[in-house]
Amino acid sequence: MKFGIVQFPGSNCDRDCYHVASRVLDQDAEFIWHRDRDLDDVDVVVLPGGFSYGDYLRTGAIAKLSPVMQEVADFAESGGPVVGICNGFQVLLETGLLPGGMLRNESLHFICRDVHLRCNRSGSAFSQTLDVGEVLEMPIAHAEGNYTIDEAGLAELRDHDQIVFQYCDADGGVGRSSNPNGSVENIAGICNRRGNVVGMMPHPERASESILGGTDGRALFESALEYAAG
Amino acid sequence: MTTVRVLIQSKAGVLDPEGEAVKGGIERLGHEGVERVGVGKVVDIDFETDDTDEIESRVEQICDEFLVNPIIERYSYEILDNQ
Repeated sequence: MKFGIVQFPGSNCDRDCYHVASRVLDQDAEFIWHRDRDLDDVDVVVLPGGFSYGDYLRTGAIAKLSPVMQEVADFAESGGPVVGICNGFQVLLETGLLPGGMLRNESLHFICRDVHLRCNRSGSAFSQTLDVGEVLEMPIAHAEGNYTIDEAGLAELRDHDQIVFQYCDADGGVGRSSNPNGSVENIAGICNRRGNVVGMMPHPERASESILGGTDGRALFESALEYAAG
Repeated sequence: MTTVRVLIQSKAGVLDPEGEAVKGGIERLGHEGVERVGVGKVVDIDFETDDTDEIESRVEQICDEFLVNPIIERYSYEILDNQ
């Protein structure tokens, strides 16, 4: 299996994702430059975290016009797994591959700390091997992770089981006190209806080896592999 | 040449934490009775043409497809007098 990690100017978690794919999971991996128009037969597309185009205009807004994004949209349309982490999630929202928008954290602070996540949907490209109700721990590191969507959109997310991850406490309880950034319904990650496009604010690539303090994130990359294998 | 000034602001009801923070600053400066502060963006675009109809249609396309995220933002624009 081959992971393709898209690099925008300002991406800064691209090498972490490459490391997890190639060294931790022992899979093929390659970088895809944002100006490329060819995904080179990758099996999984990763949009990594960072500050694409300096976060100018809105987070992810300028990246959506990168030439490679048309290829990514076509890949997603054909059912291929596309996962966006942090800024990658913001890019997916701006391109319209996922619904909703992102606001500044309610506290106005950049938040960098470990959080707990509850898996709310199994079987997506980033939760293929997870069980509903499973609690994971991994870091967030963002200033704009306050996910928002209107009531009708939220109802659609619920109706089609698109809320993949919610911020929770260590026991899996989802509530105001476990919401780090003000995100509606504690949403940390969502998918499209088909489940092949997933975006999430937390960083599984930073929690895939015990030497880094946790291995819960590894299951998400393994999920992408299994999903791609069908 | 014609300059268009686009004003982008948070939609009503959407959290504007930057506006809230600025409101706090205004209050600490000693001003009472400030109900709300909204912080937005200003984007100036210089077009080569002076054809107003063409400019309006292009500005709206640029805003709808790129400059403005209709989920969280609203916009208005004005054609500036370049004299």
